[in-house]
Amino acid sequence: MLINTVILFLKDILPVFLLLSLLLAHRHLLDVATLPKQKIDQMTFHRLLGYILVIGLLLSVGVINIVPSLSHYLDGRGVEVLYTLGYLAIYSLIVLGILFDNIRLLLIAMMILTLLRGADFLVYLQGYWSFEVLSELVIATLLGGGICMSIAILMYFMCCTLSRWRGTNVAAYLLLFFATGYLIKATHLLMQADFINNSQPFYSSNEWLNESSELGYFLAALVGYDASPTLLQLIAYGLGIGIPMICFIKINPQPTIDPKALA
Amino acid sequence: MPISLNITQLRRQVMSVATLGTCVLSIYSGEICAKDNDYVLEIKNHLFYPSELIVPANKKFKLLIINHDKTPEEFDSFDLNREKVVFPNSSAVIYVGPLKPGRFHFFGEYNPNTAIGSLIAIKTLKQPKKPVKADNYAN
Repeated sequence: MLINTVILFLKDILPVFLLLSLLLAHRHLLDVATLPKQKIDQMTFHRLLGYILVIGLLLSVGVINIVPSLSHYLDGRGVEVLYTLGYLAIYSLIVLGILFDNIRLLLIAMMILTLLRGADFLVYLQGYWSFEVLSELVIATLLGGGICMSIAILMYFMCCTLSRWRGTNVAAYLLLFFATGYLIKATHLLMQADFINNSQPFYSSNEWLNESSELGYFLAALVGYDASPTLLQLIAYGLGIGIPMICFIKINPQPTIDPKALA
Repeated sequence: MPISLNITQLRRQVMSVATLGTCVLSIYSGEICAKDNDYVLEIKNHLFYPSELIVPANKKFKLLIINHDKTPEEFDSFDLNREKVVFPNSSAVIYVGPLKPGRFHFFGEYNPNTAIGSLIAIKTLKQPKKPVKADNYAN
């Protein structure tokens, strides 16, 4: 149970930590860029982030109470519809937030992600919680939290370092890939619920990078890696990245980062 | 002329109400029952029954998963690219396929050591003769 709980924590909560680190890196890089100052100062941003995480967690507690009955709606596809809407909202909010430099949109995306992923993990905790296994669950949650935090910290400093080398906001591009991953997850759910016709995988990269491996899990959380995507998913991924990228270049080119400012 | 406009408006209103009514009726679905073309997996004591389910290849089908346990289980399969939580004493529906002939593994993510199984996709499989009925697990 201990190892399984750690694995489930990583699978469900790692995306929240990754988005948190990308948001913090993006915010930090915007501060040092040659752009007008953001309206929200750093302390307020950190405070807002904390509130958002708490609100997301509280909402997820509410969601897990309605999901069992929701699963019977729409001919058994109610949960897929809810999660699809959530994932599409995450994608839209992150893309618009980066495009228009709107931190508030990014924070709302963070809240929705915390709500959905938190609900997934809380369903497991609620179902298997008992006094006999309480210590295992607590230890596993702390272990999982520690691993996620380590990865998030490494991701933050990697973004800052790469931005210094490249002279551009790497966190913004990673956020775009992160958001597109959730667009693909949405198409996944639509296929699972038969709203979109499913087709056979276009290719399988399981031999090179197994989806069930640790790196596979990490890439699935970061960029929505899928070892056997369908053609529709590949097209959606390409468009999901390509169109915002073109918009970034036309409307809001990512600012150059002064390496001295990051030193 | 005014009369024909009124009939058109009336027709539009009737259609709108009918559409809305259909939507409302279709939204609420308190029952999930297996039909003739459904395939059923059951979860009892963190085990899948049957552990190997034969399904038709190259054809989309509906998989009904019924959880008889008091704890939730998450049906997960990398081979099928499907993942769904099945709540205690409840059921869940997943659409699968079309699958190439072969074996596709699945497992219960909450109990990966015991809840394991596979779908075996076979060509030119006939539909099951007896309709498979599932109990109503709606709230």
